[in-house]
Amino acid sequence: MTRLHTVTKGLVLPVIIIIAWELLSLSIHNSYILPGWELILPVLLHPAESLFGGASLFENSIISLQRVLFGFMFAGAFAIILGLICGWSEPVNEYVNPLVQILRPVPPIAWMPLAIAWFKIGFGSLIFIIFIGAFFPVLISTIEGVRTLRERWLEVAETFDATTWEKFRTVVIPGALPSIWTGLRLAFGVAWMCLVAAEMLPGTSAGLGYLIMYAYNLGQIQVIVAGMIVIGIIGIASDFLFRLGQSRMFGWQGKE
Amino acid sequence: MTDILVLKGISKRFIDENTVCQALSDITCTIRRREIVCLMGPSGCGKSTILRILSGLDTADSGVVHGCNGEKTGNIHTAMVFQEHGLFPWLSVADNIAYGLTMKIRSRSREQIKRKVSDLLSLVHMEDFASSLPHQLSGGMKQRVAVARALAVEPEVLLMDEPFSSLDPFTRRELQDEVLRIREKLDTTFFIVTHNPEEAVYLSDRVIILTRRPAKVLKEIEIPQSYPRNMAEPELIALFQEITRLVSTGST
Amino acid sequence: MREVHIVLICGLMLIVGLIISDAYMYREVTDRSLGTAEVRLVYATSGIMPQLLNTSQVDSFFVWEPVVSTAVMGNIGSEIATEADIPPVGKWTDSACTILVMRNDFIMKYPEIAAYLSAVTMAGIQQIHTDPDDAQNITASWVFGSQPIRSAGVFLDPEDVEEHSFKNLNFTDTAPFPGITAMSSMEQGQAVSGTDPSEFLDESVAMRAKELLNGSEPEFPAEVPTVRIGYLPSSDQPAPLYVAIKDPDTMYATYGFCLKPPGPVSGHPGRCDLVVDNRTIAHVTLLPGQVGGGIMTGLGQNAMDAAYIGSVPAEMQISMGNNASGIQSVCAGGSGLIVRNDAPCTDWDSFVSWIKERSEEHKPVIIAVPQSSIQEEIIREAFAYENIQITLYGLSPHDLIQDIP
Ligand SMILES: Nc1ncnc2c1ncn2[C@@H]1O[C@H](COP(=O)(O)OP(=O)(O)O)[C@@H](O)[C@H]1O
Ligand SMILES: [Mg+2]
Repeated sequence: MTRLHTVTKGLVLPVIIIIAWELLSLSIHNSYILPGWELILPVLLHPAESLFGGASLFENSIISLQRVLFGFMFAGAFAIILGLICGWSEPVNEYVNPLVQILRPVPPIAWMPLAIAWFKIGFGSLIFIIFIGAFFPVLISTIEGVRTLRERWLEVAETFDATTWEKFRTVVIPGALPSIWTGLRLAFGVAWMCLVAAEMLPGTSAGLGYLIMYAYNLGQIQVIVAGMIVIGIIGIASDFLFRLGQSRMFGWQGKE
Repeated sequence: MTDILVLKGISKRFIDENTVCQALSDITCTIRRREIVCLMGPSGCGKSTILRILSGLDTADSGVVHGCNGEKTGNIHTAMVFQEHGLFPWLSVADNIAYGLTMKIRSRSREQIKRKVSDLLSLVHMEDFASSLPHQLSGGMKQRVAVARALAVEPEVLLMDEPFSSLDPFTRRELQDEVLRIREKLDTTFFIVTHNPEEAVYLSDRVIILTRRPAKVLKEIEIPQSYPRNMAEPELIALFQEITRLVSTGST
Repeated sequence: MREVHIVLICGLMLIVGLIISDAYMYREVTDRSLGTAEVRLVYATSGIMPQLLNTSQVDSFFVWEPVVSTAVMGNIGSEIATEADIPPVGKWTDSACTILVMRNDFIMKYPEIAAYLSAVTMAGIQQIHTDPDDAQNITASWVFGSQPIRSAGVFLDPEDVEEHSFKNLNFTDTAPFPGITAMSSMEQGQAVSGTDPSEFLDESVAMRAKELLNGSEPEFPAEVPTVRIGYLPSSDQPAPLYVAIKDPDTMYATYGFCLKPPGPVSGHPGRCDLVVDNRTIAHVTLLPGQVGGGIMTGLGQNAMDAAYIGSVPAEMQISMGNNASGIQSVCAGGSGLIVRNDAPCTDWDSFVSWIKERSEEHKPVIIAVPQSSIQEEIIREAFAYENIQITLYGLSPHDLIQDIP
């Protein structure tokens, strides 16, 4: 019941915005500025129909998701491994940290010209941009997770004569997992946002970001809005899954 | 009774940047098989440090620790129960107890581990909570699990660092009785750090009292009474008062 | 260890999801009817095309001037065809490439200002024909600035590039608007089998402009509005505009009106005034864009009032409901097909054979074009004519198929 209530509360503002949007669109009467829902909904309700002779909304979403997952998994795997090593070994961290701090504030899309030269237009450069976006949140929270491990847990492992690898496997990794998971959750959001920018790179022919750009060049604002809605829905759904995973797996967090 | 643990002239200093802290100087004492020994002393005198040296978490600057046949420290088999944060919150009770057994050094089969864990679960009366996570347990239950986990590796001496100090008096008494019962059952030797004279008197065969830092052994007091002890007995009350005085004044 | 297992399972599910979605996309590819030759299109902005060709990421590109001349003179690739050589032969030879477009309500509200803008454009075209050298220099400094440009290791003089480029361009206000067939039929729900140019042409503005050029008495509107004009600053096609702004005195001396920048003229000014008989009748703001389609959308959003853009994006959007009209052509020609230097082709026909050859080797030729541009339309119509299938390059690991209508 209370759950239902929070959901209802969350829906109030979107519904108000949708109604206000529709009223405004009726009074402005220019679909280039504010396309009405009678234009947006058909796009959303026929997700399998080909748009502009290319992929459909559904296919574009799948392609985007696929790219995000690809880049995200690459980034996650590299960042977790590097983060565990940096968090564990201070000397390694001293070498790596300055570089990380320099690269971290660079917006992923600024890599675009280089990405195209190194990884070619299309899949490679897109994945690279997503990779850059997702890498740092995971890296930093992994390092943080290892650093803030309770010393006591490592001592317990030591009193049971754990080898270094056993300590790593049985204490460092599971102990840092909640923090890593938080990093992954942030990273997925960033990756998803980078995607829209990345898909505006030349050399893409599908994907939600591409669709938005294409629709812009054709003045099809209702498709842009539909694309934005899908991006938002996928974003909120993935965040929900991450949160669910967090409460299922790391219920002990903060109560140990 | 045979000596199981002999400490000879143990000293330890900590050097932090510019400050030197001489924690232990020349600690000499003996622990015998199947004994429950309580270690007491003013706060910060080096009690935990002694346990850490015995468990191998720290090394002494000088002095030696002998086992029963004159072995070195590393070969004396100890396990440690900490005051808090000792359980792994991501492992179930059963997995926590099995933890020490999964180490390569002990190479147990899955079957052996399973049997051992269920024995220990019933020993500490935690059968119903095998698959619970530590944060779902009360403080007393957590310490039962910690004891079971330490016992799993069959230590010759079980080291406990203020194990019950954060529990309420009733739970504490329950767990103290548990320690006595385990000793009866498994013949385990206990070396327990405590700051509670009542606990020392109720539990131990012998109390070792340390001086202020740098710590030496101030006095050893035998408690000859049989178990279970009635704390209202005048002899125990007298011992309680003497121990309290020794610890708080730090001199005889 | 439970948590570690859950994480592993999540990872596994992700991988399985990827494989399934990948298989789903792959289905599209295998659905493709085999047998016809295949060529790949990739959408790119004009500026990056030479880089793509130079790093062998594309085999060819088809774009507007001066990118074509830069590539040729920088020896990045060779130009094998212009739009006149591309089938259906003759269709594009003299048809409008860049046009002047205006929003209909702007025309309605300020008909005289609209007419003056058209007149300035016509006068600019005249000026280009009177003094082509000067026009080239003006365009060079507008598009490239005064510094030599670096292209694949060599430095090029912008004026040389423009001299080369202008040979490709035919500035005219009388070129007919082309009908578009290939791209308009790509639009979902728009079952047009081609656009009819007469539907979006508003000839009244150009007619009034001609009267003004011939000395007709001006009618001054009561207010002095700000007119926002969109254009592609990386292209040569709006040269009549550049000439008008950079050399306003000549135009004023001849016709009594001009587009005058407020300060001394250098670089490319962002604003200027429409001056008639010593009177400012409108302020003009120039808004640069990336592709014609985007500028047309800006027109639809009332963010701009007029634009110098390709005929194709303009017609596309007008046919899809953008409330604007074509006023006049600005130029014809100006597109060039560039291929890699080592490509075994010298003209359109050998280009087509090369495409077929490479298609058989399953290494389709990749061509870069600006999205929804006249070049995209030309190339799509040409390949439809040649019965070559176009696929889009750059889709996940596989490519999505697009059937040529
Ligand atoms: N790692 C360390 N570095 C520096 N000083 C330490 C360290 N561990 C313990 N000490 C110091 O040694 C002394 C004894 O500590 P400890 O054995 O923990 O005392 P307690 O008897 O209260 O358990 C204390 O004064 C403490 O500050
Ligand atoms: Mg202590």
